[in-house]
Amino acid sequence: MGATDRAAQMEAIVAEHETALLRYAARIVNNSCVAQDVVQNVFIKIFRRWEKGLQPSEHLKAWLFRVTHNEAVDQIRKESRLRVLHTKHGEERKANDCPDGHECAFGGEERKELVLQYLGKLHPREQQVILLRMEQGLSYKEISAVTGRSEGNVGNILHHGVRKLSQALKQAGVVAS
Amino acid sequence: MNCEICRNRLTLFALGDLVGTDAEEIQKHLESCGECSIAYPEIELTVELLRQSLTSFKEAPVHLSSENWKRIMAADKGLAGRSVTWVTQGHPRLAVAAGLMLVAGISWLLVSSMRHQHEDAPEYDPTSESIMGYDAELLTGQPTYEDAPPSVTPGITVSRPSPRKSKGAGRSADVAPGEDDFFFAGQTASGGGGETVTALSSDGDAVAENERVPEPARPPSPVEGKRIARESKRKGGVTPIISKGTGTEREGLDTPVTVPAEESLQRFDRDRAGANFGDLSTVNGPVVGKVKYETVSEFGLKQANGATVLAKPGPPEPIELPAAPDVVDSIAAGGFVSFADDVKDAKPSDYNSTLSKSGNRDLSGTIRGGKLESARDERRVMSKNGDSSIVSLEDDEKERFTHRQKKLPDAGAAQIAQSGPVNKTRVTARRAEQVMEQQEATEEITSQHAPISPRPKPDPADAPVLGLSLVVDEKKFEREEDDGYARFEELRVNPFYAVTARVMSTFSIDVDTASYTVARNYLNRGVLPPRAAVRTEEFVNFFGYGYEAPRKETFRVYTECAPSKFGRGLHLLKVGVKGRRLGREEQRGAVLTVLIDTSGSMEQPDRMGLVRKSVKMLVESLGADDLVALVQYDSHARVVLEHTKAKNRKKILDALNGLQCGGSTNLEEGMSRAYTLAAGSFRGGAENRVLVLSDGVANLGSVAAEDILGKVAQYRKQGVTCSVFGFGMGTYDDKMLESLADKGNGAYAFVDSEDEARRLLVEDLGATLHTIASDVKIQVEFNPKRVKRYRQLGYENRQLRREDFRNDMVDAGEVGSGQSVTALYEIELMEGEKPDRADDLATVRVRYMRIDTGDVEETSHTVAAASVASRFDDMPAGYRLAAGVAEFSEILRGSTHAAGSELEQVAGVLRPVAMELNLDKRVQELLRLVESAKGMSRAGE
Repeated sequence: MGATDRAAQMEAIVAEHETALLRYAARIVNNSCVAQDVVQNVFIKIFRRWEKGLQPSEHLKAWLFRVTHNEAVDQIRKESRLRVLHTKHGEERKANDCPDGHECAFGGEERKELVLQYLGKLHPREQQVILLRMEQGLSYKEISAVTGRSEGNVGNILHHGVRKLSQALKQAGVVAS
Repeated sequence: MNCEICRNRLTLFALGDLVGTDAEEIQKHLESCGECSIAYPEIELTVELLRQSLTSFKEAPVHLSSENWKRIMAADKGLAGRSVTWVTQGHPRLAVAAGLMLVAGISWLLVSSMRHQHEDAPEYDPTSESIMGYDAELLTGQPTYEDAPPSVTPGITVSRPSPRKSKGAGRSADVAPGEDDFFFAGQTASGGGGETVTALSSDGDAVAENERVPEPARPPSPVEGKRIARESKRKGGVTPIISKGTGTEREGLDTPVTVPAEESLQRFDRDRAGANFGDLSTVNGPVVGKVKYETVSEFGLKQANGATVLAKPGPPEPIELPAAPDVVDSIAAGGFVSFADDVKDAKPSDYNSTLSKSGNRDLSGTIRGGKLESARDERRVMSKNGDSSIVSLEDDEKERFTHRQKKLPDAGAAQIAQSGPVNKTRVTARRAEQVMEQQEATEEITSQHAPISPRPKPDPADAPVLGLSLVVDEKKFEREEDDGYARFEELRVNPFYAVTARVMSTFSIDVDTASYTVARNYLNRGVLPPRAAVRTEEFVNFFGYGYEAPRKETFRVYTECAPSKFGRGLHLLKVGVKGRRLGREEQRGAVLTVLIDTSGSMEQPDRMGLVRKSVKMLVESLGADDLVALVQYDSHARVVLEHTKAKNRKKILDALNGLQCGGSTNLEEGMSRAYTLAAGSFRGGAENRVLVLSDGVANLGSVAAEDILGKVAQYRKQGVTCSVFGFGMGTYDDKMLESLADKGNGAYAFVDSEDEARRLLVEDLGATLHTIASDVKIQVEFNPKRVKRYRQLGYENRQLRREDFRNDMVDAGEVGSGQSVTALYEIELMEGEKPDRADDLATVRVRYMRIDTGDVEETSHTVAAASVASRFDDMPAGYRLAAGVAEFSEILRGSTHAAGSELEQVAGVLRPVAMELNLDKRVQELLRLVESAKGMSRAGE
């Protein structure tokens, strides 16, 4: 296929997936500018490997998420600022993000903060699965492909994560016991 | 279905992900099983919360930027440009690289397939009981996610590096085998619908649905490692950072911190204003003597024409004194002047000797500063208009000063411009040349005294003269085993300085006392405080020394000197500066904005409960017309109560009692909101202040911290000061809070009890609310003929360059009504001088800006050699108290200068003091602390 066709197809792929990937990456790196770069690099990877005649498969989506995840984690590691999922999500976010004057709704806002904060303290694996399932809405099959674990395993991880979150929220008084 | 199975499926059930019979079974079980039906709602609620919390993510970008797009499109083969991170170049290299990749990739696959299959990756233990708190440190040692290229799946052919690839026309050959294939299923046999491709396994076999996939933990894959290495080589050893951000090549997640404009302005002015270098008694240009006791005028006695001229004693030039007596003086203030008579009498050789020995420029024949009568105070007042003249001195002295510089309207060392609190952009006008010359001269001087190689730690008994090198004594404070941990900044200890090398000790005053209360807290709990938490000046200033307050002048200086009880052969010089007490009618009103941390960590009785009590006490002590506002901050900031008159107590207290805690700590937003409010209610002539009450837990990146501090400093310049009160130990970020107070020209204190709250928020705050002087600096100039070397105890954080003493742009501390500041020096006197000579040991100068008039004043006080006492034990109780406290703090800090001292010695000194000052509870408490500290060890040791 010609260069223009490829370019057009690339554009289509990017347009289709960019928002979801950006969001996912932003959850991990906690910084919208960096998230953009991460996702950019993912697409570059695709583009460069594009053999003539190859079509994107349906597994593309999972692959994209996996690579995005790895890319983002690599980025964090290089940075050595541990602002990833491991740190206090809510507190750091405001300080690090590109400025945007967001207005949060009152009441319940703190709760959300807290939920995200505790989410950030879970094991990365659990966070990843929770994000993929609940924010990105990937199927278990897709999550399985992204994480390299079986679907049953994914289910377990998901449950453990939610359970721990629930306990933490209970202790914090957010969830009534 | 048993409970265990049910429980494990609850999340999936809540999500609606269970299908068919599974869901029905769970449903039935829940209806019948009591325990499970209790466990379920929590999960359901958590799931719902997650859903809600994850829905909006406003900070996430929605699209890639156009820059991103450009780069992506350019990544097409043949168009790859430099801007892309992993562009490789060079065809032959690629072929080799590609080959290596393949080999590496394949061997890696083989290796990993042979790994033992675990149920879960080693680092993830789903059954672990700990709920939270996977420490980042634990996890980032190893990559948690392998960058495994999807391996070969059945039916998909492995792609071989095509000739195209090896030629690399712009393509990176870092593709691991198989990755392509996963993506580009065009070649897959199972393609056209191949959904039987299941989980990717590394052994190449199709893996059944529920089987677990091994997860080899590994260091960065060979693929990646090589790629990075290649990149490094290409860029000459620099590992590229992935993110290009918008423009800057090497940015990581941070944007560069820009220096706030005002700061550069300050720097600029400071350099030029040099002013304070004091031209002093410039007669016709050549600077006569900058330093009181030194012979040298370091500013090189260059004249405008470049020749080095030695100022000679000559007949003073007659100048007309303006009629008004209390008019500006030159910066010469402070004894740098040479008096006509002295000038005639002075023998150049008297003062030269020491200096030329140490290698200074030879200035034989220079005149040096006059000798002032001992213990004489002089006051120089600079008015706003910069007339240079002498102020209120007796007439006979006017004679002495007649030779002083004439009014030099342009040069006016004396031109201290407006110094109102609002407009701090005063510049001391000087001839630019002079400034430059002085700059150069100082630089030369300083470079002559450049630090030499650090010596080994000084033996306290015989500390060698160190010149200007500093000895860092302290270890950085380590994390302590406590609930949370307190963070303190490492401090160095002032070393001994040879007077000939550094004749002046200049520092900004400090009335903070938090260090003592923090240390007391530790000691009461049975452990020694961390070294970095101990600040000698704050220990010393915690106590009262009974200085009498001056009636009319703003400050009075008291000095005492006696042999030191703790230093062998040393004397201890105590310098006390006491401020005037403002009368009731002189007290300005107050406009207070109270910023309260209501984050989750504050929800403890010794924090929030104490905050409430403290604010209540404060409000009750204010004048009826003083204004109070309450702002709370946790994840966000909220104005709880707009500025209300203090007489509306109920309203204020109601608002106070209504505060709830929870959430994180958004200090930035809190400060912003509080300052906005404060600015809105700004009342000129009153004390406008923001009070921050917090336990200090603010996880700020350095960028955010810089922003906050910058803002605080800016507001301070406009008249809104900031005081900080720390509540609760444990997670106590000392450094940040102190910086806040520092930049805000307010005090920083630590409240740990109701008593302390009363002392700090009622008494002390009352004093600080009624500031009498700001930017208070002290300079002690030692006479090299009498003092060999000296060491200042404490104030390590407050040191100033000597030229900054008269640089009114330099920020320094504030003193409130009736407050006092005490500084201590250990000095070694010169041998062989008869003590009864009417000579000075040192001169103490205090320079400050008066709040009421806005004038900058400077007062000086000499320490007569004759005033040195002969016995420590004969000294007044206050002196001995100071000595004991200082030594105590030195021991606690682990200062090497205190090595050899024992707490028992300190206790021995303090016991009689405690008896004499038996009404002072603080002294009794101190003695108790010293005694109990004897057996303690440091936290964490």
